Amino acid sequence: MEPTLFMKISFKLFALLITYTAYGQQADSFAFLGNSFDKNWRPNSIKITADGSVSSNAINTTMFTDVFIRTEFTPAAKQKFVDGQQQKVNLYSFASVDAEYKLSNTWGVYAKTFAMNGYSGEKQLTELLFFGNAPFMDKQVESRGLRFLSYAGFGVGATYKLNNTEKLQAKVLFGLNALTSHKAVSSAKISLYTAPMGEYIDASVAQFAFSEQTDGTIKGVGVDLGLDLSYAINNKNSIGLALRDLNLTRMLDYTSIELDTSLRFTGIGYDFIRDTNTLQQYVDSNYLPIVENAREKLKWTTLPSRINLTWNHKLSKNSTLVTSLQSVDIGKYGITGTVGLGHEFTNRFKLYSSLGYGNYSGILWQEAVEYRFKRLNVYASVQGLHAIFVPKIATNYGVSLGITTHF
Amino acid sequence: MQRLYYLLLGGVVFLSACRKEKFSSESNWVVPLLQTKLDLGDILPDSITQEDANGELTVVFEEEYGVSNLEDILQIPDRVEEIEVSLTSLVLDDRSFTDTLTLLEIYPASALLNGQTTELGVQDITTNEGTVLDVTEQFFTTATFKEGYIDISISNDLPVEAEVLEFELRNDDDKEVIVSGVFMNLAPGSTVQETYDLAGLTVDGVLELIVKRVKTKASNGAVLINVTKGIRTTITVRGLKPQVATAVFPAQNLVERAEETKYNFGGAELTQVYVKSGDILMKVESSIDEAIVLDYKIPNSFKTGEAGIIEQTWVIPPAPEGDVVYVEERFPIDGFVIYLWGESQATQPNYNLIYNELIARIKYSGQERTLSLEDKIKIEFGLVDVLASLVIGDPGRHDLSTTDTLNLNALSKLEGNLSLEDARVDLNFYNSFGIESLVDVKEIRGLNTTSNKVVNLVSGDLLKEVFLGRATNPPLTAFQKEIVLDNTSSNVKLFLQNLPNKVIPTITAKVNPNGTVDQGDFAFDVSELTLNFKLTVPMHFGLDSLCLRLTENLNLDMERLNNVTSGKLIVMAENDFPIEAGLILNFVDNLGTILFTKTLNGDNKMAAAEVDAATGKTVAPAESELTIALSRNEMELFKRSDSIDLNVFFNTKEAKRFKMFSDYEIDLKLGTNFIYENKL
Repeated sequence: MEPTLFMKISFKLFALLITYTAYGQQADSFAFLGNSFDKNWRPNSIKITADGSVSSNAINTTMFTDVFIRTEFTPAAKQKFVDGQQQKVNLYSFASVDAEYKLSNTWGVYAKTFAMNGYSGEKQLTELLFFGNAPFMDKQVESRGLRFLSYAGFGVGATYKLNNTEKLQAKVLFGLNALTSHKAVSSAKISLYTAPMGEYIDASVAQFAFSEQTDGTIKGVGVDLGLDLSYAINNKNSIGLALRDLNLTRMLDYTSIELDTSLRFTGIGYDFIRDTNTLQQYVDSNYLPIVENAREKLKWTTLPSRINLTWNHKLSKNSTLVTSLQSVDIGKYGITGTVGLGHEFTNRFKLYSSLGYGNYSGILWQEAVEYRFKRLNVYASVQGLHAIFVPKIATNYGVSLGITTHF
Repeated sequence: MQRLYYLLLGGVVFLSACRKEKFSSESNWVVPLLQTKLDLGDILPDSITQEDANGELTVVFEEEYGVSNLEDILQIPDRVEEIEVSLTSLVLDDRSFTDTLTLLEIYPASALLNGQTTELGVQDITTNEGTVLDVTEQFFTTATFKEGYIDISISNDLPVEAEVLEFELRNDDDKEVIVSGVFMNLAPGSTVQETYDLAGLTVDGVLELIVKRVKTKASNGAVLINVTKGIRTTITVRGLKPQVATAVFPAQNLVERAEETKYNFGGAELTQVYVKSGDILMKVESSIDEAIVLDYKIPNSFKTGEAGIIEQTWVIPPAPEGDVVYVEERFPIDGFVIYLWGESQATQPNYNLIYNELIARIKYSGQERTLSLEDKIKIEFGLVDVLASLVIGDPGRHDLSTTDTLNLNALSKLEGNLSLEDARVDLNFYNSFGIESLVDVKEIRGLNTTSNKVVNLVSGDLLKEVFLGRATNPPLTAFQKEIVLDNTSSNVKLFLQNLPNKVIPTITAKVNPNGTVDQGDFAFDVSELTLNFKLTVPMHFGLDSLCLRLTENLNLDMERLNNVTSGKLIVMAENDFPIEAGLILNFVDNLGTILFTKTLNGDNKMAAAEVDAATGKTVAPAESELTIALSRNEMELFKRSDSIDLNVFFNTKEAKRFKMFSDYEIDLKLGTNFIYENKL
């Protein structure tokens, strides 16, 4: 007889109960689901985390999976997206690998690589850009707040322990970032009219900005700041602030085109979003002087920063209610709110479950576990578990893995 | 642990080997290929269509067919004469020089007696010492004479008779004796003279005069002694024509030439030429060590409104010693009129002759030069590159023929068959020569190079020669004659229905068939004998597979098209014509090779516009949207296409005829609806 789903879940709960019984009396010593790595600040300890997630409010996870492991979209999933009633399509993906090494009792160093893609646009416009202009002949498509940003890079820097008391823990990160790619398009308002036969697309744009990247390997360099604060209000409550990627980046030989005008696009870019190295090749030659006049050197830019506010409320000795609010670029690329429950089954094993909602991700369901060996902590987190059961409805998933140890 | 390590290593190798095939998503794009308009202008350029008040079109094609112009009848050849002359008339001026052999020189002891009155004894003095006479400035430095004389005049200023006087004149340099002589019994105060021929002698400017012997008689009583007086010798050179001389030469003409130059105008006998443009060429090659002045003139010439004749002076610089100077100059004679009757109109023949004079001379320069009769001057001179604005005379008789081809562009873009309601050809003969002509239109062939079919334009009016009288002047008024060939007088309708794109007339012309009586025929440079071919076709015709053609470049972005997986062509047409139209699309690569052809015909063709029965004009364009499927192979060929040949062909139902209006056109949009593969 095949085990039923209910039987599988019951077995897992039983296993958890056994674990809880064995280790529940131990003190907090978790580096990922707790704050032991920074609180202990033990020299010669290292923490490595790898994260990857992709989320959208409208694009289903089957389509993500199609991109990752298949060769084309599953027709039903694509149709599900097309049939969706969302006004806007938001898409956000982020992947990073971070490593931090504690050099002394107060200093540490870090290194990271990161890649981010963000898109926000109204649905009809998104369909036009992604799937072609054929369905939109002789139609006007309007979109407010079109945004597209894609970048990748790496960074190195130092970490410094500002404070580490029972009441307040503070840590600052400062370093340098280098960008290996950067593409950005944005417009406060865009209105596209596809002429019959698709012979041109007339675009009326307001605050349209378009960056043109160079051929060099390093696209820009900048300073990178981060801050971790944890404040214990009382025995049961604490609040935390994690600020990452606060930056100012000097772009190298970049140009930016900023327009408030009407343009005519000809020779329509079939892969407009991906191939945004230059605007000229898409614009009717009559409008090139306008584009040329709007071109300026892009000297500085700021990449989206991430803010994570948490409120931890101890429900019991081993259980904590965690409420968090996360934003990317102060909400430009998403605001997510989650409520989760962390439970230490033993002082070696902790489970964290959360539910939430984000405007770039839809419903979020995250399950995370951390297990501490003798000198080694391992961590795994899965986001979007519901994608396993309802992949055409789920709109996000991700995974995070971590390890920490000391030498 | 080791087992774990191998497990991890194996996993990494396994995962590396499983490289995922690229993800791709399809997008559906509608992209225009081209938008164009085909109208009657594509087959009938605006320049040949005329539009009436209603917009109804008439094709008027007019082409001038040149039978002859002035160059066919007359060309003025370059006529350059060449002369080479030596200095036949080289001369030196006559000059004299006087020298005195004083008593003191003859009898030095007489110095004691100077001023006294006393007796003089016999003196007989013999010597070889002479007096050096430098006459370089007065005569020349050196000269070898072809002709010339030297006069030796001796005057006895002594108070006694010179019984014997023997002298010798020789070059001081080489001591060569030039002249010598003996005078006897020369009484006091008397003079004797002797002339000597210098021909063949070389005389230097530095001479030595030697009085070899002076024998004087004793005085007859006391005489006044004046030691400054003596034997006075005067040397005179005259009639000098040197073979070679180094001297300061006087002004003299070296060459004098006055001749009538005969021109050959290929049978024409001209009396006047009005020069539109042209030059007198003067090429000189001189070895003369003196500046040569050339004077050239054509006395029988004038320029309207200006005084003077054709006249020009050139100065040829001296040639360096042993070298030659070359000078080539042109003198424009634009606007001059030249009489071609020779030196005098009264003398026969009085045509085709240009009387001209040439003088080569040297001026007195005061500079010493060495000139020789061996020195030569070579002169080429004459009229070159002369184009006439008007010639008068007898042009002679000329037989001309021509079979040049007229490209009848009006019909070159038409294919198929055309039935014409009314058509006519006007042949306008035009003669602006002051010469009679007889034109014979032997044949007018109409060739359709596409079908290779020939139809001749035949009319009874073309069977006989056409006489064209002289133009009159002034003012210049051409003689014209028109022959109209229409449906009643010719087969012009049949001729045009062949859609000839080349018209090949065979025409002969006899110029001046009756000769000239008074040499009064004339021809201007603007004169021409032409046949104006004017085709008038009201656009009211029926069409049987008439074809409009157009080639459009595609300018496809190959890099982007590589990701196109499939597609179809969409044709959107708005047809003003009252005729339904098919379409043939030839996709052509950059070498001009047709890669593949798609045809819209049968049920899948452009609809005809409805005609308003009252006006005969269509009311509104008929819109058609046609789809052409492309196979995978055709899609690949399409990507390689560089241009499209559009062939719109009409076919009227039941040979019905329609009026054509200027605003008729087919607005054609050609696009593709294709699937593009975006790869990640």
